[in-house]
Amino acid sequence: MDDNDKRSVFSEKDITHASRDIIKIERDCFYGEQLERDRLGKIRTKLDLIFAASYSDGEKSR
Amino acid sequence: MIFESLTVENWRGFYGIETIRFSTSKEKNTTIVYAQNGIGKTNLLNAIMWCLYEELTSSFKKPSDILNHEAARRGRKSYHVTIYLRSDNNQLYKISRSGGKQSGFAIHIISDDGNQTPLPGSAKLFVNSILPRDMAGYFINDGEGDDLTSDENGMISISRSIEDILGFRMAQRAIEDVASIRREFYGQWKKLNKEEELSSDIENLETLQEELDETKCSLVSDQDILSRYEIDIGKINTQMGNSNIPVLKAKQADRASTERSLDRAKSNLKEFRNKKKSLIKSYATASFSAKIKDSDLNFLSEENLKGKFPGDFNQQLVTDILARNECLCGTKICDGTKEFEALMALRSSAADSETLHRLQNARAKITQINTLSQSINQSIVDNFNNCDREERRIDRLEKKLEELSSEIDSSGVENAEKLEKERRILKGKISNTLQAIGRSKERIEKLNRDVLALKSRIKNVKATTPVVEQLNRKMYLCDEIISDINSRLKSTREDVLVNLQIRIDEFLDTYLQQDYSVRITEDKKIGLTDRYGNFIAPSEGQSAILKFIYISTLVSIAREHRDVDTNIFTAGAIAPLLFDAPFSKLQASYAINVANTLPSLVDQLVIIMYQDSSKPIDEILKLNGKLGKIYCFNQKSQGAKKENDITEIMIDGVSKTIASYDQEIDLVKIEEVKSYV
Repeated sequence: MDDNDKRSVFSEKDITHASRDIIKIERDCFYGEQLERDRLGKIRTKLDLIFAASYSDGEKSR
Repeated sequence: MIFESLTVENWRGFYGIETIRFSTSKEKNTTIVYAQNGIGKTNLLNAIMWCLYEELTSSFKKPSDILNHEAARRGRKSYHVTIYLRSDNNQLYKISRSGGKQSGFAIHIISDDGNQTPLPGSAKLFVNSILPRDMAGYFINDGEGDDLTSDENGMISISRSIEDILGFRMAQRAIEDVASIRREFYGQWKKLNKEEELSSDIENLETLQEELDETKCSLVSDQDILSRYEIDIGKINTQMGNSNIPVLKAKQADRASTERSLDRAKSNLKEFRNKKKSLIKSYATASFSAKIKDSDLNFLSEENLKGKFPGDFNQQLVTDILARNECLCGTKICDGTKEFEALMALRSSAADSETLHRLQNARAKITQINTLSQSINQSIVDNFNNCDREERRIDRLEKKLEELSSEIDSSGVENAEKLEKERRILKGKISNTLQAIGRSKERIEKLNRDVLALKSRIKNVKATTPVVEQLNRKMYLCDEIISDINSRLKSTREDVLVNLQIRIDEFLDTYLQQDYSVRITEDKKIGLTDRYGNFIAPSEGQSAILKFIYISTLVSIAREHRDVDTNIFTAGAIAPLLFDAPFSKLQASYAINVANTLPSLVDQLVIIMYQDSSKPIDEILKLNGKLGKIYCFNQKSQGAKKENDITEIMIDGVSKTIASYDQEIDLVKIEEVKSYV
């Protein structure tokens, strides 16, 4: 799979939202009401969701 | 987040309940609390710190002495602080903490109709989420232990405050965590990704297939050659068999028969040798076990087992006899008698049936191995004998064949000599060809096995390809996120530093008498410079100004970021600024200028200060429309008034009593002087 192939799946908007959501998870887990030890699990879940959504969108658009 | 009110009950100098309702107006966002020195200004900030974090500032004296003395004298044992605050999403919360005998901490959510619901989850974590403890020092500042450190040259380290307040620290952690997850993906990818291996396997398979095809061709060709040699030798045999010399004819017939016998013997030997391999492979364990069988069987001899392991029944019988004190034969069994001791010894030597059963099982297994090894031994011995016999037969036949050939060769018949020579050459060729055919067959067999194994491996590797592709994409997603956060962090950090410098310079240009500017060093320190760009050692007042303006400018940048949709950084905290005696170290003109600037930079400002006629802060704030409320402390004292004690002050044209003497009890009241909202 070349870079162009990969790039077509994730839009700039996907990446921006992902970055923002993950930083929010960090804050909630560091300062907020979530447990800090859960943060990696939450980030993994978030990545999976973004990946699944972007991937299916990308596949559809091909 | 903004504070709506603060209520203290029996907290230090405050006897009973005292409440401040802060100005919550967006425009008139400043509340001033006037208090004379020495009557507990710091108590107010500490009440907030204690309520939120159960901690006190370093300047708080006698931290164990919080319960109001008058309240204690009247039998009260607890003190309380309650804060009402409104979050950025406009939700009202009540945070209450009690100390002393009835200590406790609770947060309630207040609905629009005033109903209170306990906050689900951890109250401590909630407080940390609205104003993290390690950031509280930037916002709640008692003038002593603020969180901005300056070095001996008056340079203020700003790196940590920028990272904290603007939320960059969280972004940095996000990068680290996403990188760590990426490493996990890479680990999985590395395990599953066999692209290189796959291409190498495919290449190997092609090579093997080529070799297999070549070997098969070679086999066919050798078999063809062999059949031609056999035809040729048949012809020679016929020619020699047709010879007129009877002796030669007989020898020729004998040799042909010997050759056939030799072929059979060789074939038999090959078969026995193959069988030998299979016997050894299948029965090696049994053969080796035979070595130890005798000693084990002796150890577990049936005779010994029978004699030495009484069963449960025997044990129970002996126990019953001992319990009855009478043997089956009628003999009395009493404690201490010879019969009693004998029965006790018998019972103690009894073993349970399970142990006996296990030992018998072990013996049966070993006996089985013994039987098996005996029969296998016989087969192996027979096989060795057969091999020896065939080898001897082959030796004998080869010798005979050699003799016959030699005799035929030396028969003196010219034609026979020639034929015999040709025949010998052909026999050598046939032997070589047979060997080549054998080798080819073995090679084909091995190549077929290798091809099958490779095909199976390639199939397995190909099955993991979709997972590998997904991991590739996931790693790419992580890379993109890390790169996105990194590039935004870099550009936002640069923007913030430039912005800070410009805004603080604007303030200095407007309000500072000297021609000073600020400069931010590469190691993120901020300091004042003179007109030539040289850093100067600031006075105490200038240093204080720089801190106030720096922190409020930083908060104002955080507010702007909060209101921008495209910003991905979640601000660490945007809380009200609560300053205790912020202007005490400043010259009057600077104090006024700072007071003029601060309210526009933050959501809410609370200033607790001593009224100084040279610093008419309330007037300035009122003039620029930022003053929301004024409160003052009113101290009632049992003591007598001294000559210089001030009892009243004028606030915006209103005379307000701030101290009265010869009272029944000592206490401090918090009274609203004026509201402008």
